[in-house]
Amino acid sequence: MKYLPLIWAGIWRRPVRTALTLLSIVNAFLLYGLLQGFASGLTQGQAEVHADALIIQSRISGNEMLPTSLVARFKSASGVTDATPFVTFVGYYRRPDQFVRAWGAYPSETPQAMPAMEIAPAAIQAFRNERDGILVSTEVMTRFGWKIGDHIPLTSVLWANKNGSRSWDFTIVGTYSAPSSLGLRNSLVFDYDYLDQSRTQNQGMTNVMLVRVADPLKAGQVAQSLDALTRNSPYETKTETEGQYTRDTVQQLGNVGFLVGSIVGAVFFTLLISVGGVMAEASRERTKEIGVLKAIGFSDGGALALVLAEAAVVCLFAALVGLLIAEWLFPIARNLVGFNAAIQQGPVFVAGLALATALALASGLPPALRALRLPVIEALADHP
Amino acid sequence: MQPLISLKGVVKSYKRGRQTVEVLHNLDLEVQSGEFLALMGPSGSGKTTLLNLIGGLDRPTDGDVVVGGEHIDDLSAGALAKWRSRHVGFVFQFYNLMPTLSAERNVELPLLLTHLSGAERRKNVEAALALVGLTDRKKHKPAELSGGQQQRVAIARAIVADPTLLVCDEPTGDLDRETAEEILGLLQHLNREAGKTVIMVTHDPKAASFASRIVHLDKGALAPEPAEAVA
Repeated sequence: MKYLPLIWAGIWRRPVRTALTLLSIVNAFLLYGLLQGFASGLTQGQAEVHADALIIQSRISGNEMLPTSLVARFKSASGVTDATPFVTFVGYYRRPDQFVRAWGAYPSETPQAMPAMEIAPAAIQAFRNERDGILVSTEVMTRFGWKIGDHIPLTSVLWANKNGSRSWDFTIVGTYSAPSSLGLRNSLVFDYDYLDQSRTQNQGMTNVMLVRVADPLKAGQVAQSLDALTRNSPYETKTETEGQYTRDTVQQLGNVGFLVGSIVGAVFFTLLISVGGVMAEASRERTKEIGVLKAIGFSDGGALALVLAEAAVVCLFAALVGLLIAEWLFPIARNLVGFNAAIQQGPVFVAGLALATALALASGLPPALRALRLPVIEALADHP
Repeated sequence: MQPLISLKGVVKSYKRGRQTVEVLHNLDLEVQSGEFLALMGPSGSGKTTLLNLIGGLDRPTDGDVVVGGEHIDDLSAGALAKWRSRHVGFVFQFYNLMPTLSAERNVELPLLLTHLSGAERRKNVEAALALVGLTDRKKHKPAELSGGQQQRVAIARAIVADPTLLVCDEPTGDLDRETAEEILGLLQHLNREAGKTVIMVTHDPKAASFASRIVHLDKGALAPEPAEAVA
């Protein structure tokens, strides 16, 4: 600690240059925090899957429709305990940037079909009683500042209403909380029949069915038997475990890990060049000062430690600020893009600070080694 | 009596390209404890090289450099650095203060290498600044001080760890006559009252007159002392 004033003074030798360097590091770690937040959220979604859940979609694609009459056939299949349709409702609240994702489900089956959802019994009852009732996740309630009883219009990009508009009116009857898997977090759930009876096309159809199996160890076997039921029919299905479904959904976005890694890699390579240049220049400017420190008794190792400590303080301080801003901004960014998962703060922070340490070493080591090797007589004779 | 500084057969040479240039030739010198020695001579005569050897900033190519009974030419780089921190205070021509640190933080630098507590360091810094008459300027940064005040801070830094030896390289070379005399008076005071042994390189005969002995160097060898050497 006694060296801190010396380190701090060295850092602020040229305030404008230091401020710009700090800003560039903060910016890079802000980007890193946000991107890694999204990537870790997707990983978290895959980790929270239920072993007894199967997702059924059209074999052609997840957007193709399947008749809800299939639900009864699947429900009666061997090894299946429950089956229910879910229809996707993609749209927005008042403005297109207020993106929302909702699901149409049977109110009478919602608690059984989605046991991971935490819903108050009164909310379930109200959901069953109100035809235009909608359950809203706590994240979405907070995001829009809604309260129970509010009437909300949602515009669908998929479904036109028989009244000629794409606007659908709902009444909020309750809230729920859910894990990030299946996209229920940050979502809404309404009565399937309310949509089905008023939409202009695809009545009696759904794009997703959720099946529960009795024995999770036999989930793969049951999936094959369900797909066999629709083979060679106009509505062939593709049944996946919830884990496979989540992985497929993530893969539809592309190789997120590679994408994030590439962006972060490019940013940090540029940052390394610029910060390394600044550190080297700062060290060169202080050649004489390093000579004086050595003359009064600082060892070669001490000179190395001082230069490295400056790099570490700059990189770690700025990285921490960037990561904290990312943590603060993440919920806003998540809502803007309608992302369902929550950030994994701990691992992102730890990885971020490890990255900052690596940046400090990579950018600080060359000037630190120069300080180590600098002969005191040569350093004192330096004329900047 | 054992001299504080003893140089025997000291040779110092440098490589310049393919050539080897010998700066000091087989030099012998003894300095007693408590002396104020002025090293004089023309440019290139080897004054600063000799000062650097005595201060442990450089090593001889040949010969022995013994200071306070220690063969400093045999010490490792780390041990030599530690020895300098304990036994030598440096005063440079251009002060060489850290521009981003206040006067008191500059003076504190040598004490960072000791085991003194923060409170003890502050006490010693206060005492050193009081000795050079700069207590009221302790919070100022070098750029906010005059040349003379900066050199006083540098002297306070040189004495704060209570070294035996003060090594001064042209300490008044960048100061006007009046300020230079104040600084020389201060060095003389430290020599006479605090018992510090002072070795000072200077071009200026007036500055040298503050010393108790003057040694002339010419072309890397000691020249005979003039008859009018000062007291």
